[in-house]
Amino acid sequence: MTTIRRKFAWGAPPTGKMQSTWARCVITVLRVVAFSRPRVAALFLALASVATPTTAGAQWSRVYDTFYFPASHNWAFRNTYPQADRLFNAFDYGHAILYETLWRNPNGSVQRLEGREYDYITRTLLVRPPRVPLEEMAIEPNYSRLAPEAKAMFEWAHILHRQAYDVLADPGIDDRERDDRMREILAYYRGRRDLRLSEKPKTMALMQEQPYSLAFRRGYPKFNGLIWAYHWLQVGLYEPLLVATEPSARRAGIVAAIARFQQMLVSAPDHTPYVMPMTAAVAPAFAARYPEFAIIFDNLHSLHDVISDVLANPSVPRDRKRAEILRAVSRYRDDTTEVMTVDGWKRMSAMMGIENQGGAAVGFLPALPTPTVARGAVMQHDANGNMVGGDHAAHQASPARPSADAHAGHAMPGAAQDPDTAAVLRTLNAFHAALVAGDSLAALDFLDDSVEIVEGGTRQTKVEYRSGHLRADMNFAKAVPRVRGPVHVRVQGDVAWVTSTSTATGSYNGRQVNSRGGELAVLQRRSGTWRIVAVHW
Amino acid sequence: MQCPRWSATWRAHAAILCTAIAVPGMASAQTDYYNLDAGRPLRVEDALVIERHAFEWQVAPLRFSGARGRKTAFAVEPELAWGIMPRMQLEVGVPLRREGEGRSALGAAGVDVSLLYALNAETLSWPGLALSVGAVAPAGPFGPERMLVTVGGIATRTTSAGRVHVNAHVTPGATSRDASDDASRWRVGVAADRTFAVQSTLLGADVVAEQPLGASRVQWSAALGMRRQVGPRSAVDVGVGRRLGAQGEWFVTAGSALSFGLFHRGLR
Repeated sequence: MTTIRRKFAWGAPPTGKMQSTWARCVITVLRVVAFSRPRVAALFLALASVATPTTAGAQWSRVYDTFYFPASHNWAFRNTYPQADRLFNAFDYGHAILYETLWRNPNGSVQRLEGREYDYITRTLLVRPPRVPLEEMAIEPNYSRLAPEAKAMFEWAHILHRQAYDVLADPGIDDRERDDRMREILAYYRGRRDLRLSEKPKTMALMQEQPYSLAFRRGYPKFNGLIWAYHWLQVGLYEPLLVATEPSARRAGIVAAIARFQQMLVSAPDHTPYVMPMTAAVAPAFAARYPEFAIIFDNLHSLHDVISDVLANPSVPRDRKRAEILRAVSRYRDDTTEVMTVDGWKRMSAMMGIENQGGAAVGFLPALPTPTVARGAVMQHDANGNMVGGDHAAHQASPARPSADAHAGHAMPGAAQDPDTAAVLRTLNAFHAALVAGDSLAALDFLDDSVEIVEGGTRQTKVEYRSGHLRADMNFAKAVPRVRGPVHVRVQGDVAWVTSTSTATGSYNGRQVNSRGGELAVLQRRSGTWRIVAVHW
Repeated sequence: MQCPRWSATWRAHAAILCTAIAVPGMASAQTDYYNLDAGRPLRVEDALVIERHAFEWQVAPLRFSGARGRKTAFAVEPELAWGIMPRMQLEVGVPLRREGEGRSALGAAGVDVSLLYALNAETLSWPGLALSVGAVAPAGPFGPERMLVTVGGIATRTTSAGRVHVNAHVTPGATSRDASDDASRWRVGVAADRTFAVQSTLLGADVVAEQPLGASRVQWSAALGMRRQVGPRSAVDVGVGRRLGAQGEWFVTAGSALSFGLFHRGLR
């Protein structure tokens, strides 16, 4: 009994009135019922440890789940296209492990997500995807408890996704009935007013111009590319289901879209989408016929990115993350915040460039399209979808609004770059990604044999760099996330020079790092391939 | 669809099952294996309720039990759960038991009706909490002589390593005259489970202490179990347990759950 009392005394002290009341009840029960029977007392002690709130009762949530809309088309997609359906089961894992890792392991999440988890997903899970939908609570137990409302919203929208596939995949539904069924499942979705996303298109400001914005895409380029590739396929599959009239053509279209998705992952993040895929661009026929669905899905995918940014950005304190997530969620649910016109949304989707979004979902060429912007580029637009920024409209990439976040607000190269500029940036970005990943062979592969590296007052050859400072650079790049500022590229013939600034914030070897730096890289085209011939840090 | 031929009771269950399988418009809770039901396979359940508008049919939930010097008893405990309101499920079950030899040895052990109401969704600060109230009405040769009402509370705490559940139930006013195999004055149980998410499989164990109506001593039992999702609408479970004491009583359970939807009438 003494032991039990001592254990109880070790428990966290009550932090609020509600908790104190709860603790008094437990103590009373223990005294009256349990202490005379040690094993029973142990059970009550377990009850107390499970049921006692760990912090003040600010996070009481009453959100609940609702069942799938019962209909004869349920499971048509799974039965007809099992390969695609299983991929979506695997996507559930990717989304869930992302949030769980960002929340649970903020200091080591870059290495884990860009390394181990990415490899597991692309080499194992997407190769042999699960047969049944996964329980996300089991993958993201901590994130699910942080924001159960957001999780429920995503699940409700994912159910709409799956039901829409079912309607479009059901061969027994004719053209007119299809529209009726789509209206029916949309009405069912709208019925959960506490979970439904707005059917008004939202401007990119919600996603790209908040204090926490861009942290995820910049700090986690591979995983961000994976998520955007997921979203490309999730909206892209509607297109062959809708435009193909014959079953064989539909099947061919589905298979081709899946193959294109897998092609994107071969060399991520170089081949994954460079900006968020928009339904109106990737699946224009679907978006034209069912614009409400397309807008909901774009808002869903945009909100996905926002929550990633909130979780990934260290400038949002941990005790503010839930509040920021709920704030973002409410903005994507209401019909007033940062709303744009439907025509503007279509215009914006087109102006972002289909080649930057992974390409069209049907009728594409064997080769992946060449992006015309830098990876993760930010393009500003007005409520009518027109790019803004005067003469440099297409190149403007910086959030215009003042930001409280030291990591936000840096400009990135904008739209309408020529292929040479894009290729130069791809090479340099891949070099930095290799450093972050700790892949020394890949990093050295981007350096020309004649490279000169000027760093810390010394000049090194490739051989000297390999045996000298490369290891330290990789360790630093892995440990301290770096946010790049504006990148300027000049190309003259076969020579290009790239200047950029960056901010590094984190801890390295036990000391806090918060520094700004600059980079000048010179690249030369040799046999059609851009290689780094000089770097100055 | 042809239904199997069997006794009247079995035919009734089979008819419902066939209906459930054949009704157009069925859909599924997608991960039933994660939502623990009492007795499937552990006696301790979690604080989750099934989704609003969902139905879940416990198909052929079998239970074998025995003890030293006693013949093996067999029971089937079919049950239908319905997500009748937000955070609330209604369950109706008719446990059937077979003891001894002969056709007459098979009979109902009452009619079980219960409500489970989840107070909240689990958050970082609050565990999932639920309240339950159930009644077993007298019916069949193995049922209680009068209606027994049980009330209880359930808590579930999720961690990275797994979940812990605590159940506490009490049957007020019950006396030893109401004794039946499942009735207790009070019952407290703790369970822990771990989910293998990609495999859609859950392993769990529980320990239960109870004061049976027909006995004066506290009785302890422990069990191990597994649940697995085998399809988007179906999950299976198996479990094995033992009452801790001189009798050495053991039990084995096996069953499956099928979820489906029949209709909806708007949402609130």
